[in-house]
Amino acid sequence: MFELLKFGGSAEAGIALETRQRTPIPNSQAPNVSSASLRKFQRLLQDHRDWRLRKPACGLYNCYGHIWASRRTAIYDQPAVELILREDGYRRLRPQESPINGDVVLYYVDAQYNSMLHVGSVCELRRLPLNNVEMGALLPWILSKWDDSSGEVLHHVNDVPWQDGEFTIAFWTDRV
Amino acid sequence: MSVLDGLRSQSLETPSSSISTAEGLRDFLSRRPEVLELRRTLATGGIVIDDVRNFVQHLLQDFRPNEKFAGDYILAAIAVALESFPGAFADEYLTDLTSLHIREVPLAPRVARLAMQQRETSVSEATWREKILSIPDVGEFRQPTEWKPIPVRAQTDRVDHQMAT
Repeated sequence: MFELLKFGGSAEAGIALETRQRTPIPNSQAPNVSSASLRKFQRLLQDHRDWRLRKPACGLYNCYGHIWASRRTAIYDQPAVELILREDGYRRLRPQESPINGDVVLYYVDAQYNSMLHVGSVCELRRLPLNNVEMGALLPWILSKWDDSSGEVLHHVNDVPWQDGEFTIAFWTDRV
Repeated sequence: MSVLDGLRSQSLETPSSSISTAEGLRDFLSRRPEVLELRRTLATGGIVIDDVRNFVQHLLQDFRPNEKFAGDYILAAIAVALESFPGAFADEYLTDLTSLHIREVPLAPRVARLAMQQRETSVSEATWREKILSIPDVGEFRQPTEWKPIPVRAQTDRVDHQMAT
């Protein structure tokens, strides 16, 4: 059924990538962005007016490659991400802990933190005005590349492509 | 709009194509109404296998070498819908998709591999239920509780029943 893809596609090819403990990390460099992917990213930008574009749509890396492979390649397998978290010394922030710049936020499908949707890096903490007198809590702003064919955007931690109830977040850090 | 066309909707495309791991995409798709509806329609015969085959062939016309295939998540959604669907077509679809290792379509084959793992459990359970429900001529007996299954030998998939004495 997929002969066209089998014979017309280009074989996955990764780069040398290892955890801090030198375990290889499976990866594959993403292809060029298609016109359909460009249109999809444009629609996303139009739907999220508060996003700030850092970089136009590009291939090569996805969100995990953005955070853990220096924008050189894409990582598509959750076990590989879990390997990185484990062997690079990441821990989930405790409930009373606040994230700071450089920490990462992982988005999950459910509250059990089983399946990962996305990762982004905390790049700013903004104190949003609550009303004219009081100031609200510090809220993280995130740098994200949504997939292997989108661009990079800055966005509020809850201003994402998924609806409320479709995701749960957890902050992780490699701080001791 | 058919349930298959529903997979092309922006309401599914936007969130699905923003997911970068196969595990997350499969889990997300398995909760989406578009995929649940496709699964239900397949099970009730609302669409037939040729409809799916034709839809996929039409979708693949947009494939271009060395470019990200925008239908990646749609192929993944069909894989998730088929993972509990008995029959040779679902086997063929998942097996063929699983065999791909190409840059243009990174996630659908990975989702298909997860679906195959799930299928090993769910389809065998579904097949067992089918056999129980298809007890021959059970309708002519008013007290089906009087029937007990005979233990089935491991080397056969045939299920026999006899009246308890």
